[in-house]
Amino acid sequence: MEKTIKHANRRKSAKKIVGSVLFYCFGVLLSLFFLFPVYALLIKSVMPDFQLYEEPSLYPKYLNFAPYGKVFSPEYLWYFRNTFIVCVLYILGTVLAGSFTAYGLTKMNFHGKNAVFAIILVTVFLPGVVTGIPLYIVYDHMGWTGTLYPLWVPVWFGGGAMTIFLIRQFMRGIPNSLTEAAILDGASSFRIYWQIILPMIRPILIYIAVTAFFATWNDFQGPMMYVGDRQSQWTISLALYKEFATASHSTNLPNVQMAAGVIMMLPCVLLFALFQKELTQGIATTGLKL
Amino acid sequence: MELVAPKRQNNKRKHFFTRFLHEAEGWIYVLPVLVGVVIFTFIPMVVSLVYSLHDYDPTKATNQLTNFGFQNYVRIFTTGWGEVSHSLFITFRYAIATVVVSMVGSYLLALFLNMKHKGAKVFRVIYYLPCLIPAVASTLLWKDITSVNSGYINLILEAIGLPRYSFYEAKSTVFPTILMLSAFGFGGSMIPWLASMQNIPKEYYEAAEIDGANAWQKLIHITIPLTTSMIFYLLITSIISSLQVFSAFYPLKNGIIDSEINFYVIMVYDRAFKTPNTFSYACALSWFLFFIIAILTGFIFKTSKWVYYGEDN
Repeated sequence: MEKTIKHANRRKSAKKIVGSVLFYCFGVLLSLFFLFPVYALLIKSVMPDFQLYEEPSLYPKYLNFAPYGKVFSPEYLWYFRNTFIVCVLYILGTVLAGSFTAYGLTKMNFHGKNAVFAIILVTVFLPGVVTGIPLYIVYDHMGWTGTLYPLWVPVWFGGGAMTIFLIRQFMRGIPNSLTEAAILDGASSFRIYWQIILPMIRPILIYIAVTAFFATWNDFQGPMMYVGDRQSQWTISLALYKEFATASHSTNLPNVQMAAGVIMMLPCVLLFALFQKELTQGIATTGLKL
Repeated sequence: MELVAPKRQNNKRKHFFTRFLHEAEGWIYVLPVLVGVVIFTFIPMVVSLVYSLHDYDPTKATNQLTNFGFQNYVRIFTTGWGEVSHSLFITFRYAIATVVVSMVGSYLLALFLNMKHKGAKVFRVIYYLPCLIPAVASTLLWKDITSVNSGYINLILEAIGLPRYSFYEAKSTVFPTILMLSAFGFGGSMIPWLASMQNIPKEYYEAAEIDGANAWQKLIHITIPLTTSMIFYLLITSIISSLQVFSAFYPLKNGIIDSEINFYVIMVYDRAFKTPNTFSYACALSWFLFFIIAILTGFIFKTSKWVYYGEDN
């Protein structure tokens, strides 16, 4: 009797070990697959010029750091500066305006609140293409085309529908008794928002800030439509497109383009590594529950 | 505390006044978003609708609205139909194929990482890495990797004795290439899948194990039903966003394969900004897409009885 249990246990643990080995083998294989584009990006960024077209190879004969020198030229640093400005202003806008609006929609009572929320929700499902092109005309009338304003000003008006929706979901979890106690103590609604609510919704704000960074840092369509040919206002994405994808600039070498890609990717990797937990949890609350 | 009762009428007025203040206070919080919706959504929509019903060219010095009528909408179905129908075809083919492939692929990837072995977190970061390559850089990178003469994939194919493949450099191979390369993006939706899988209470699996359920039964009867709300969310958002694909392919235009990446929004963009005299036609085209997406979303919501939102609902 005892022997058979021992046998069964041994068989079970053997099965477990085989399972683990299979898991790691498969995991490593998949890792090689997913690391391939990253390897290509990194290795091409240090490829000597002659190995780009004439003698293409999977690995460089020597490491060529000249492409990085070009990426750190004043011209490119200026594009990074523009992108950085847009990112910071966009993130501040979406976090502050989004939480401000969501606070009004969750913790304040007034007539028409549900109607306002319904209007906001409808804009989530509105395809960007319907407003994107006529917005060009609106911005043109305001003198905003060729500037960075169209890329960050709109978000200061409410922070975006999805942001409001997410923060609202999160805020509903904060018990009303907490804010009511503060009201009895004579705190104004703004003070409650600023000093009590904001610190409490930190996790969702981090999620929103990081995803907002990814969105603006990578954005290409917005700059392409509204900034256009004005080089002094190019963001790094637009500059990459203009310098490397349009025929008129075909003299630029792919290793410089990859070096710029590596530099662009670094902050994203860093943020993902730092806020992996918040990102995963934030996503878990996204599920559409209407 | 003051014990003297105030006059009744005064009290009533004060009550009304504080209620008014309270109402106004609430509106202050939603005022910015309402202004934003009007300026950045409502006005452009009206403007777009008005333009689509006229002839209008913003590049002309004397840009005026002329010729009220449905000519731009008629054009979609008459002289423009050749281009529009082809664009609709490749856009829907792209949307359906990539949404299905990506959802299934990333779901399998999440199931794999959800097996809770040590080191799964490291794998998770690695699988997500390709998604962290910024959009334009990524498009240019894949263009480079798939180049016929110097691309890495073709170098590898040649090294192992296989013929070179034309990828983005011939019309016929563009769509298969897009589908194949979408596999590198599986890490993107893997994260939300994992998040929703990890939200499933462990007790469910434990109970199933006691009843003798195998891995397949646990997947079919626990994991999939309990992640339907995430399936629904990702289905809607990825269909809507892939019907509007733009950034991932616009930089690939090279004169040879342009018709194969003439996705709907790329076509609309070119009509609005690259070809003369077609701005109002572009507005009509974007309204047409809006109706398609609206009908599609409505249809998905109508048929969403399979979605499970937890026991409280």
